[in-house]
Parts: sequence; C-alpha cells; structure tokens
Amino acid sequence: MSKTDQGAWPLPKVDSEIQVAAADWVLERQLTKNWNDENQRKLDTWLNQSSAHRVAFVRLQDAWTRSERLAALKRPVRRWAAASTAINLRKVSAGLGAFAIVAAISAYYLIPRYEIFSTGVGERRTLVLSDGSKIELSTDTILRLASDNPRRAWLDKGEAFFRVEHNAARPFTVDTGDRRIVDLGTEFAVQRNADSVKVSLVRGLVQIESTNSGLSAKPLVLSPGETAVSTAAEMRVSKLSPTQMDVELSWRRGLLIFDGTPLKDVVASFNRYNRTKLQIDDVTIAKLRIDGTYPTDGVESFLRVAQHIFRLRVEERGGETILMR
Amino acid sequence: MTETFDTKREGAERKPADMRKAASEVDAWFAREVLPLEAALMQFLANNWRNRSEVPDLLQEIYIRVYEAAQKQLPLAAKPFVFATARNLMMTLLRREQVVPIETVSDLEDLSVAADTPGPDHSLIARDELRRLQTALDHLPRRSREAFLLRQVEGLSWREMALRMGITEKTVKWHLNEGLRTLADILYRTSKNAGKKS
Repeated sequence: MSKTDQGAWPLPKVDSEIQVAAADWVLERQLTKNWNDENQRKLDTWLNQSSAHRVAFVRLQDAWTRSERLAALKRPVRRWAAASTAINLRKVSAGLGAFAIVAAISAYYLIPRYEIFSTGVGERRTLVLSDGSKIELSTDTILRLASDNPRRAWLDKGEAFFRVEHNAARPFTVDTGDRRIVDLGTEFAVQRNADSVKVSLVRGLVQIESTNSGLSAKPLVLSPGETAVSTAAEMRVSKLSPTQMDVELSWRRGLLIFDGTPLKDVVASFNRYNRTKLQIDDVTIAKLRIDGTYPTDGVESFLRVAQHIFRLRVEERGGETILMR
Repeated sequence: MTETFDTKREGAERKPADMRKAASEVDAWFAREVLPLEAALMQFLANNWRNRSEVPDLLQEIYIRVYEAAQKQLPLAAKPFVFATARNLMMTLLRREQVVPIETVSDLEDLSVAADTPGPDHSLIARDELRRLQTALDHLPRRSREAFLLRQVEGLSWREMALRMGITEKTVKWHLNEGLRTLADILYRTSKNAGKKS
C-alpha cells in the first residue's frame, strides 16, 4: 500500500474494518485459554497481509497492555486512617540506596484514585466503612469509592442504599450520571437507570446537584419520604407514604413488593435480579396491575400466579420466558 | 516460508522463528518509541494540513511508512525520523496535487519548530499512567467501561463477563472491542497536559 510514493495518493482510508479486526485479534490472544501454534499461525497470516494490519495490531496491543495496570485497583475495603498508610521513611531508608527510596516514594504516590465494588445479577452485598457508614449494594451494581476519601462515591450502575454517619466537616457525596447527591448524615437510596437517576430519602437531608456544567438547574434539597427522579430534561419529586417507601426499598430485605404495579414494571424488576429474562408479548397486558410480595428470585412463583390468577399464557422461547394473554 | 538447513550459506532465508523474533523487535520499538509521539504528531498534522478530515489517514500512512522502514533498519532516533516522514509525506502529496504555492513549501520547511516538542519524561510516566488510564476509562461508553473493569480489574473470563453483564459472549467481545479502540485513541491522543474531561 505504501511501498512507493506514487501509491500514496489517494490516501488509504483509516479502515475501521482493519481496526476492528486488529482489536479482535488482540482480544483473542489475551482471552483464549490455550493459545497454540495454530492460533499463532492464523494471526501471523493476518499480520503478514499488510503493514496496515501490523501497525493497527501493535498499537491496540500496546493500549491493552497499558490498561492491564488497572488491576492495581482491585483491593478489599480497607480502613482509612492517614497514619496507617503513610510510609515510615526511616524504616524504608535503613540500608537502602537513594534509588530505592525514590522508588518507594513513587509507589506511595501511585495510590489508585478509586476502588471498585460490584455485585452480580441477583447478588447483594454490604460494605462497612471505617467511620461506621454502611453501603448496601443491590443486584447488578457497580460502585466506586475514592481511595483517599471513602465518603466520595460513584454509582456507575444499579442501586445502592447509603446509611451515612454524620460528619459536618466532610459531607458524603455520590456521583451518578450527571448528578451529585450530597448528604450530611442520612439514610437514602440511589438508583441508576439507563436514562434516569432516582434518589429516595428515608431519614435526614440530601442535596441533589448537577455535575454537568451545561445544565443550570438549582440544587434540590430532598426531605425524608421524598423521591426524586431526574432525567436529562427534568427532575420530578414525589412524596411517598412510609408503606410506599418500604415498597421502594424492599430489595434491602431481599423482597420485591408490588402494590398496583403495572406488569411491565414487575417484569423489569424481576429481570434486574434474575438471569432468566421475562418478556411481555402482548401490549394489552403491559398495564395489568399486580399486587404481591415475592423474593427477588421468586420468578417461578410469580409465573404461577400469572397463569392461575391473572390467566396469562406463559411460553418458553429461545431462552426467554414470554407472557401473553 | 521454507526452512533452510544450512544457515551459514550466503543469502540463506531466515527461519520462521527468527522472522517472528525480528518482527517483535520492531513491534516493541514501535510501541516504545513511536506511539508516545501520536499526540504531538496529530497536533503537527492538524496545524499543517488544510483538510482536517484527512489527518487520521495521514497518520495511518505515516505509521505504515515508519514501520516498513524500521523493518529494514531501526532508526537511531525515532522522533526526528517520524516527523521527517510526516513532512516528506505532506510534501509528496502537495506536489502530486500540483497546487503548491511557493509559500506553502517554505512553510513546511519551518515545521521543525513544532516537531521539537519535549520528549516524554520517563520518570513521570509511571506516576501519571494510572491516573490517565482512569480518566480514559471515564470517557468510555458505559457498557465498554463495565466490560473493561470486569476484565482488567476483576479478571473474569468471557463466560463470566457474559453472565455478569446479562448478555452473550459475542456482545461482550463487541463491547471490549469498541472499548479497546476508544481507549487507544484517548490514551495516545491526549497530551500530558490535558487532565480534565473535554
């Protein structure tokens, strides 16, 4: 493609097909358990086809190798107290040369910015911070805590319930989407969905801000019993009765409580907690109102109720369970 | 590629294993010496080429030329070689177009100033690298970021990732594929000074 000057014009288009193929090869080689000579031969064949292939592969392989450094982020929850993480320089320097001291100091400053905690589908997990605050992670959730300040959190996915110890000097913040929830000693839940964020306050006070500098929304202060749902366009607040708040947070007890809940929302709830996915195949039943309390993994018993009490048909199709009239 | 039994013979063909070793030397050199120049090179091309949309294509062509030259012989100093290749390519293309005002040619001669940006400070690289990775990760699409975290931090297999994310293995591969390409672009094209979200 580029052996002579004459071949250069018109320029070879950045061939995204080549980039995608090169990325595929990098991933194949990294994730294949027994990479053998046959695999290598196929890769070599592709690489030999063109320098464009080689260059793309080298570049993406380098990016992958660099990203392996992220493994440093995997750490158990540790007590954070400045004294215990500081390096005792006197101990380090005894018997070491200057270079080793520099290396030790560099390693200290390589503290990762955050630690990651996650749950699988149907899993729940509770984190206890050294200041006594508790964070409950719901199903299929990813939460990050800043390493130098565990009172700074990011909710990347799913839902978490926070019971925060009061500390006026250091408010607890949760960033999710383009919202920041600031709180001073309260109990609240944050739920991150594809296109909205829901905050439910049980006790205390929280303030919800926008972290997107493009939006000029004023910070909103929530009172206990209130739920705020914010989408790209707006933030809507509703007041819930204690029973309704209980329904909202029933996952903390391993339960899903439905109280006149439309079938489509019931199905969505079960799908968050279970790998077997339910689907509604008939738009007329989507708004059917469902009552009842089920364990989060109670799909089977819900399907029995759907059949016998709501007289719906249930069919297995291609790994999914379909509900229809 | 046929193997030869008498390697002392003049002009003997190299064995596949030798070829692979030589190839990986060039690869290692390319990753170590050329890729860190990508941000400066992109800037250089953007400043000196009329048609911004052709800049990524120029970059690809420059990489190919540099790589092929290195296969014959590794350049002593990567930075001057890469930027000289870039200058030569731009001049060749302009000449072929035959729309070369004299001023444009002499402008290109002065481009050495832009190319003399400071080289990478190796002592700071390790310290900044993890933070740059985290910033880059923040810019990935949500699902790609999730896939990357599950693989690089948690060390899950294809199957485990598929189960955790609630999707097929094929879709996991697609998300990782997109994530890797985007991550590469961000890592190589963000200059050291850009730490904030763009």
